[in-house]
Amino acid sequence: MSGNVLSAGQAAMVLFGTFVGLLIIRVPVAFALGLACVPILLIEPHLSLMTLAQETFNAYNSFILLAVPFFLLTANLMSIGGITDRLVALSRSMVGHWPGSLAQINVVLSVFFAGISGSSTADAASQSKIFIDAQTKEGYDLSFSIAITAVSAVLAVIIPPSILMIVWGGLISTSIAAMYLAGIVPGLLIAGAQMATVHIYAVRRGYPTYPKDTWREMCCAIWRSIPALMTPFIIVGGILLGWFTATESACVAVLYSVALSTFFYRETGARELYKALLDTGRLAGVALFCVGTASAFGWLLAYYRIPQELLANVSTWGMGAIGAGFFIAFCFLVVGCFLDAIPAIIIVGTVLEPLAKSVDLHPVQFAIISIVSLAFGLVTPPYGLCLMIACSIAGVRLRYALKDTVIMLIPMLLVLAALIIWPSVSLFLPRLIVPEMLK
Amino acid sequence: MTEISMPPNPSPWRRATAAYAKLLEILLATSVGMLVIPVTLQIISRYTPLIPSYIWTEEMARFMFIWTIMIGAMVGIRESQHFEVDIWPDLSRRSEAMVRILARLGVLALALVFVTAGIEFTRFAWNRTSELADLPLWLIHVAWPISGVTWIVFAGEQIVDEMRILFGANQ
Amino acid sequence: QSPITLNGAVQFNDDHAFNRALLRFEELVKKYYGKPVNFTLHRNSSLGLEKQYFEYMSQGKAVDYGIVSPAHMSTFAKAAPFIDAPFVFKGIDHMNKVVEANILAPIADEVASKAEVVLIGYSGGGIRNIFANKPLKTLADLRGLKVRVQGAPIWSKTFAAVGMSPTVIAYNEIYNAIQNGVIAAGENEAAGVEAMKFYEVAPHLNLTQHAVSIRPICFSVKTLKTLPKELQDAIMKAGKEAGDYGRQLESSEEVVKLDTLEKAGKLKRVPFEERDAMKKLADPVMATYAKEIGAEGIFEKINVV
Ligand code: NA
Ligand code: NA
Repeated sequence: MSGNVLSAGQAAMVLFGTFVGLLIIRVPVAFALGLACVPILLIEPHLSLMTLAQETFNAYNSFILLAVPFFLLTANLMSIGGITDRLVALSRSMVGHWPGSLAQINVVLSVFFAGISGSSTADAASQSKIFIDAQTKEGYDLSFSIAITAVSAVLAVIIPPSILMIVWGGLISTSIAAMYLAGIVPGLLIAGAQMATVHIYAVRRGYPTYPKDTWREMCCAIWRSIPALMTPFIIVGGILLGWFTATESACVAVLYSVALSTFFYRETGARELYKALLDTGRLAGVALFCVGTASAFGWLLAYYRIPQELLANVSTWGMGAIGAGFFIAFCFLVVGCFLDAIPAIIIVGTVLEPLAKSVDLHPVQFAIISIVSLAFGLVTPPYGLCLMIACSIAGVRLRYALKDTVIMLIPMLLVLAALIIWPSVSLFLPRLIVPEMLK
Repeated sequence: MTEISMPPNPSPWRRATAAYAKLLEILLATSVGMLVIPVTLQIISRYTPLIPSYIWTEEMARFMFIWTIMIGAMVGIRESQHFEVDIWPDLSRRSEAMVRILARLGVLALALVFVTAGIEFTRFAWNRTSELADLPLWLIHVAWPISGVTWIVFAGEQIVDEMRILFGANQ
Repeated sequence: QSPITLNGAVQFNDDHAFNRALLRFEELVKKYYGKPVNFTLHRNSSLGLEKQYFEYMSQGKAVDYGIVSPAHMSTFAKAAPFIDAPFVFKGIDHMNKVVEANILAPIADEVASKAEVVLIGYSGGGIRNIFANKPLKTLADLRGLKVRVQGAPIWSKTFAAVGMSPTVIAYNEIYNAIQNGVIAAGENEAAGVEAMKFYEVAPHLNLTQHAVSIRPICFSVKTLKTLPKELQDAIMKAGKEAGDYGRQLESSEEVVKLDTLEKAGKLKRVPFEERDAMKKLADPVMATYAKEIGAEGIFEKINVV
């Protein structure tokens, strides 16, 4: 006896039914999530519309989420301050002579970028502006250009720093430092898988290749990028050494990129700064508003104990660690198609934790499997934020780039499978560097 | 995506809402910039004796953050930046207008909820002050009804514009 | 007509003293009321955190009863965190006497009138100590210690007066902040240390015994008003008894919990040698604070019990 008017099943039908119905008539996702809560709040005498205001407020009233605008601002400051240009030049001298050079540069830049920013949204927004136009001008297919920009953006939350790992560490007491180190190898493997995909595309479709840079040019590019390349060491090192908390590190990234742009590269003006702040506010506003309504949606799922009912019998299936790993990845991949990664962690992460514990899946490996799966959700329709951003900047509909995105996801899923099967893929680095944080 | 077209001779009403949108943009950029301040103070105060360890920095950062999100969500409706899932085939401009009106009606519905629930929510904070900085809490909660009203204005204008296309002369 | 159902919420898992105190409350209400009544207790923070339960109880929505730290009532009633402030109680017996003598009633009245939540019983009884990544035995050891304190000004003021360097860190960042050395310590009762796994990163539990926790069992006034009179009476009676049970449970389990953790090699208790000197430094701050919130009378009564 729950004392509620609706049973768990009825509530789930109302919530998901309204949500999907509203998505079909193209109500923005954030608003559809909020509106889906409304019928329940009206039907249930024990709840009221104010619950929606209260739960969105609770979601935003979080020091940890503050890292999101900081990472977005860092990305914007990097592009106006000349940091991104230096990193593009460096990527070009490294992989510019490979087939499909500009697309390879796109992936390598995302790796560098991932070491500085912890938000894939930021990567997708800033690199779509750089690459989609440039690639199509050089003869790359538009759908390929969108897809590679979007899938390479997911690296930002896998390679440290990472907003998802910060949120995870706050919710399920897991060492953020250990997760950061554990994300490096899987991130690089995924980047490698993407570069291999680009290579095959480029050879089959005859995408252009740049002439090889001389050693001199390469050294010059490295030299000019050194201050920018220091950023990951300052951020990740600052956390490992205990200089600041994970959220504060995102603020330090902002300060460092301001300092670099103004004192070192000397490329920021007041107008550009205003535009960077405004762009940050716009993207942070729409992305985080959605986290709030999704949290309210998730709160109602919890109120009716819907995730618990769905997963009630899982522990009796007798899965081993690998089976559970695949199951966890599957859950997050499915949830990631419909929800933003942060609310997905809040709603599903805590529900799956007992399963991971019962099969002795290492907490850090559990976190990495979940975060990589959720990162893939950033490019899976219907709600794949990075793919949506890339498509909207390119001015096309999401469907347009779908086929290439799916093709590119296949090798990435193989990497995910590898890190489920072999724990050391993720655990090797933290075991080497911070064994005391793995107990 | 951003398509805010002003007719050649905007009515005073349209001019007012455009000015309001501009004001929101300025507030948004300012609040993003200011977010850096309390967090920086928090880090500095932990390592140097230059400034005392202010207990309110964390709370201040959170409250400014809430306003930043809400203003960003208001601006997002004006500029149609909120993400949509698009499964429709390419439509004629009229059918497109039809779907857009439907979608904006959804926004309008949530806006009404935010106004009514938001007024109650603000009243709930009326006599309360924050834990650390002793700020009146309604100053934060009032962001809910304000965004509701703002959405009604912006989405309402968009509905009117799309109606013109739907029922207007063939172009 | 189907029987009345009441909804409760608790942050912790099934073994936690708060959860068990609330289960006892449910049992006692059923017994005293004698007619059918149902309870749904949402556990493991599934409906949010204590601060939010309190707001929901105040609205009379979603949550009808729960255990909430007085610190989370401060946005409604400034005096509430006083119940739980450092160095108010000399020890667990003193706290029990204060509760039994009903000295805290004026504060409970203020909460009831401003937040529309009644404090029907007083659970708690956990002794708060400082957990750190190193042993701390004397005041000199505490000097400059970067310690995370609760978000009420009285905590940072008293800890600063003792010579520590209180720091603001969000509750869900404590674990990682200690692990990485951003802060060196935090403070909590044994049940919290166990639930949040703080011992993994800060294995030294320094027995400063700087506070005894009181965790009121709260009930929404708006809900209460809609219930039949006999049920209301049963709730008030059961709340008081469940609170007494909870206090007794937590204080008796505290030692067992710490023994178990220590035996498993997860935690080490460190006797703190200068509690009196520590209290002396904090006393003037507490006196000023009591004056500020108009609780001097209560403070005096507490001190003479
Ligand atoms: Na990229
Ligand atoms: Na990153």
